[in-house]
Amino acid sequence: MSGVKLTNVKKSYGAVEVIRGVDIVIEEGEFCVFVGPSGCGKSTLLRMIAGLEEISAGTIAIGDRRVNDLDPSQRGTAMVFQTYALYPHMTVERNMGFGLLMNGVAKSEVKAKVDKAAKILQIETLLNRKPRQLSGGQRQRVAIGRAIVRDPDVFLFDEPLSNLDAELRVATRLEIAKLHGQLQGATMVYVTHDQVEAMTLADKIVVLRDGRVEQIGAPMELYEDPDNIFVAGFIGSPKMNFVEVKGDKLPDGRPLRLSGSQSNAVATLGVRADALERAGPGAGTIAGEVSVVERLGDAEFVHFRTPWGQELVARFPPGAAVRVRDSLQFALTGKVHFFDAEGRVLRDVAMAGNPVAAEA
Amino acid sequence: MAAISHILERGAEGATLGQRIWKSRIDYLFLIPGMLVFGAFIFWPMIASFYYSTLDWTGFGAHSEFIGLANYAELLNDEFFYSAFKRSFLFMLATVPFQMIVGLMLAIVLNNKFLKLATVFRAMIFLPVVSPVAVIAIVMVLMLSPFNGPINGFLIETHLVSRAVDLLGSPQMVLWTLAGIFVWKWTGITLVYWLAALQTVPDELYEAAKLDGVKTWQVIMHIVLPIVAPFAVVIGLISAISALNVFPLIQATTQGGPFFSSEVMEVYIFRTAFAPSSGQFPRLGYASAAGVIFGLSIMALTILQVIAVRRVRRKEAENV
Repeated sequence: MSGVKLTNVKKSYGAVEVIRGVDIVIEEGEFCVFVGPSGCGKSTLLRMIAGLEEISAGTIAIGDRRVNDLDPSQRGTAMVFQTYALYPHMTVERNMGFGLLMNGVAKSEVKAKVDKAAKILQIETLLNRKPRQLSGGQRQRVAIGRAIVRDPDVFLFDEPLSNLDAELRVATRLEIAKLHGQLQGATMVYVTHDQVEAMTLADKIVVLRDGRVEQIGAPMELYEDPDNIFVAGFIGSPKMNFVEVKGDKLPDGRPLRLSGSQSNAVATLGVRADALERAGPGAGTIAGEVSVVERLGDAEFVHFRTPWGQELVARFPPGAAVRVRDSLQFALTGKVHFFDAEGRVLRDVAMAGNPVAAEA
Repeated sequence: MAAISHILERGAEGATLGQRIWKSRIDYLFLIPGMLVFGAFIFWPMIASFYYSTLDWTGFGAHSEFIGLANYAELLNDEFFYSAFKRSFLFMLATVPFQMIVGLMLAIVLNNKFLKLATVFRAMIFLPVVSPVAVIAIVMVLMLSPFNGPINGFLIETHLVSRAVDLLGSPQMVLWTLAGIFVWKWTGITLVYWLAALQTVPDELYEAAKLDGVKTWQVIMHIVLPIVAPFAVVIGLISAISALNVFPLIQATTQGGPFFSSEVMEVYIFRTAFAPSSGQFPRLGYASAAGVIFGLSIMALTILQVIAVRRVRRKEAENV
């Protein structure tokens, strides 16, 4: 088993640069998730590691081997495709063992490996079926099984859950997490556009946008301490609320008392739904009229419209007696993030006391 | 509720065929042009040729006589008919496998996206398909001529033969030469069919195999061919039927000669129907009988093709 190291990796198609210098270190045994909106280059990056796309510049190393010019089959990677890419005319057993058989591995050895992988994935009873006789989830397991059989250093997953329905996606996500535990030391690189998948699976998340790395870190690091407004908005559900700040004032003119040397540079305030708390009349920082209440059972998401016409969301505990068209006040109780005009986080800025109390 | 059940009742029962046709009269109106064309160019000729086949008629004179199935009885003892019939299917067997295999090999090579000139090659191979048969025939007669023909020139220069070979003029060789011309002309279309079949193999399968270290020939043998194999039935039958409809090529090169040695069914039918050479008289009724038999044979092939297409479709649906 070994890690993966990308150093200043670039990829261009003609004049169009799709990966613009990416540095990522994935440790051995780590579960690393590339996440980003569609077109950010995450799949391209994965395919470059696999060897399915050429590398225009930079180095990719697996373990201590530079693999740039190595044939895909020599890189010690195995890939699970979004569309499963199972051979439609072969049984599950042959699908899983095909690569080894073609490379001259003895039949008995292949059979042993296939059986072992089938046991891990609990698909022993499906071995004689053809892909068309399997459900989406079963096909995905077979595809994963085909990767396991190869005993790779690095597993590559390209949006493996995208073709499954919502319920199955959650279940399969859990299984992939378990699998990572079971295959001790297996390095896994996983591409998704779904930040929930990224948060739940990853040891390390790489957020990508337009072929550049926006931030690398553990899931909670990105959630708690995003480097910029893009990561702040991308990670977490519901999306973080952003409010424009001009000269220490909210758009409706209410003052914000900030401390910190860079407090003059603040252009945007970011606050998550769970950091907004209901305040008494006249005691909040942000006011709003409730437009929608989503009751999820364990929480209620209260969407409200601010006096300056923006839709924000707050997370209330269940049973909050809030109705549509109620006028509410919100206090910024939890962590608040500040960003400059370029969207970079300003870490030394903080709220100074309770501004509203001072106003009142 | 009452209104709905009323509508249902009216739609389901209580309407005679005439009433139902009258209700859908607009639909039938739109069908008329298509039915007229179908009737005039397909249905009527079929009926007419069967009718002519029961006549003793030159096809030109006013005089014709109904003779029942006598034409058919005579055909069964006509050695020229048998030979032509046999030759047609021999020609088919000589061309179809070549066309299929060469077409498939070219398609596999040209299906490679990374082959820069693939489209150029595809166009070049397709060129004979769109060239008029008459033009190809004239060019081929000149090319293959034993007198100053470039092909004979080449064969002699390279000492493959010691003297000129009359490829279109020798009864032993003419059918095979024509088969060669036919394959050359039509392989392009088979190539296109195969390319379409190859489109059904998803790119990910090639990629998965690449990651597995499977060699190109193994990918072709174990992945590509099994997936496109069902298409072979359809492509084979289409090619077979087109190999039986070879009249223009042969008429424009040898007219069935020398000594009837390239006379396939269509040329035979043409010769008996219109008697283009002197000393014969046209027998449209007799030719029609031959045409009916040959037509039924092709129809049998076509039915096979329809069945095969359905099977492939069903199999495709299962594979999704």
